Amino acid sequence: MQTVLNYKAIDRTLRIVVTLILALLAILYIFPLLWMISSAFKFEIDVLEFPIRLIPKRVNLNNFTIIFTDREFIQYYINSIKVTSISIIGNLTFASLAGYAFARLRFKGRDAIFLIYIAMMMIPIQVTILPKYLIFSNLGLTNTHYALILPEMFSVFTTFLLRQNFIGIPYEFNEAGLIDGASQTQIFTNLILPLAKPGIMTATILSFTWIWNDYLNPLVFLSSTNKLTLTVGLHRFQESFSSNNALIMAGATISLIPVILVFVSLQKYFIESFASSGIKG
Amino acid sequence: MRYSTTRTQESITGILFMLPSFLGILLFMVVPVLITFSLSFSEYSPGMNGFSVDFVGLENFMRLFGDERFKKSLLNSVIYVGGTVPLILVCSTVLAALLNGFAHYRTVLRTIFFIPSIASIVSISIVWLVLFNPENGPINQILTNVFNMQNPPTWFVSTTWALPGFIMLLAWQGIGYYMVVLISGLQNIPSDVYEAATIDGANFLQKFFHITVPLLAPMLFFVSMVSTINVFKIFDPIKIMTEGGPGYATSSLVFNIYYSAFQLFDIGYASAVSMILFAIIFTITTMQWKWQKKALA
Repeated sequence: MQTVLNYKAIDRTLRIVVTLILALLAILYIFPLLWMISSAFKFEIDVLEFPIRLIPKRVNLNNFTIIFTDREFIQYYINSIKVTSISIIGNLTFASLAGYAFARLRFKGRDAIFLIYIAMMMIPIQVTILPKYLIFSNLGLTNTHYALILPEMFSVFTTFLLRQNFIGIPYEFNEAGLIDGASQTQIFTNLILPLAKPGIMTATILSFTWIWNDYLNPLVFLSSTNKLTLTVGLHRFQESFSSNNALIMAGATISLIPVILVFVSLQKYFIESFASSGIKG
Repeated sequence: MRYSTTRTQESITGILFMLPSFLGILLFMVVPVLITFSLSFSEYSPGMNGFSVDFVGLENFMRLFGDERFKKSLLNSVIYVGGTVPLILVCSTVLAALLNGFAHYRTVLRTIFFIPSIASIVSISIVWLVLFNPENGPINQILTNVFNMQNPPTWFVSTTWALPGFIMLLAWQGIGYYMVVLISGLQNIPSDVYEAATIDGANFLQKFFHITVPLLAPMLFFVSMVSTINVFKIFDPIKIMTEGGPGYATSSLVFNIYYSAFQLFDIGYASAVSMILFAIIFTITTMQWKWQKKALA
């Protein structure tokens, strides 16, 4: 009995010590982002001062004013929102239709075609970027948002994710629908789709993060400033204001806001989504 | 009769549902892969009226293996993987074990470690570039003023320090994500296993090495494979922070593809590098799937 009590006391102290160590580590870990946010509110001469202050001694909101009145930066933002939202809508529509077909509808050649999807999951997009560029430039689609949106609308990964999700829904729902005389399309839209909400949420969160943060595709496909999305735009912005760190940090902070907002509002889903996402990332 | 009409309806719906996605995948995945494959054995030259493609056999691959830039990029990619993956494995496992049940304030702490993995790598690279500025960056100020270091590393401008710098960056961005993956794995370990061990008097470390690690082994294998694949594809921070330089000292395979395709317009060569990248990723993925099948069977 004595030893058990002792053990419990040791365990309790150990937990507190470990928590403290982890909290310290967490502060160090997130330091780059804290420093970014704090510098965004500083005057340029205070950014690189030593000792480092995470809470600015004088607050400067001018960096944000400059950015919010910078036509180019606003254009990057609008472009990113446009490309990301259209891509996601297309991606989810095509992937849920195909995912459902692969999961529930029997037709000739289904398994052979699904095998192609599985094989395509092994192919890094970096391998397809050059031929895609050649195709788009022959079609005259480089330097348009089509070059970003069209390929993003078709994702083997999202299709696979949603197929797994549909497979998890009991087949009894389909049978019940058939007995009631519903068509296959009605069964899909009225019965199965509402049940698949958590999976669709996961797919939305993952595609949002990937497309919003995508750098390689816009870098390769876009050239004129008014077409650029935020990632490439931010890099341009950094190059043209390379001596103004406070301004650059404000730009970096603002570009992170949408992802952070989505993360905060859907936190529970978000972490689960990433945990289940597996291969891509 | 009734049965066969429902079956026909089912297969027509199936084909219609699948078709748009399949055509898209065909056009934007399958066809490009086939083009990369054939271009890697060809010479592509754009002309006034379209372009010409000539079959050159293995010439592109021969050039590749005589090219210092390619060899360095391949070697660097291996170094990035070799440095980052063990770091990610150790840190994410320890964090996952502690933040699954042991420490207090688990949700807050998990969130903090997770946030870097959703932040855009462009923003992160830009922030790190200022933080690790060799002359007046905060990191080197701390190293000189607090730790009295005489010649602190010159990080991303130096050939020796840029590689460890990228390894740190990749690990920093990855650890939180893999921690979350591992926590979800840990939650599948039945808690009575731990309870039994506690009754037998096992302490935290004993439980960690004798229960957590062995039961988590398939997950750890999965994490090492996925992180290997992801690190092999490193491009964004290299493009933003060093442009592969100084010279080509920090170039990776994907940076090499980008550079030869879009800066040198050496299409055949870039396709050959793409095929090498594909071969590497293909091998790792097949290994992973085979092993997973075995583990599940």
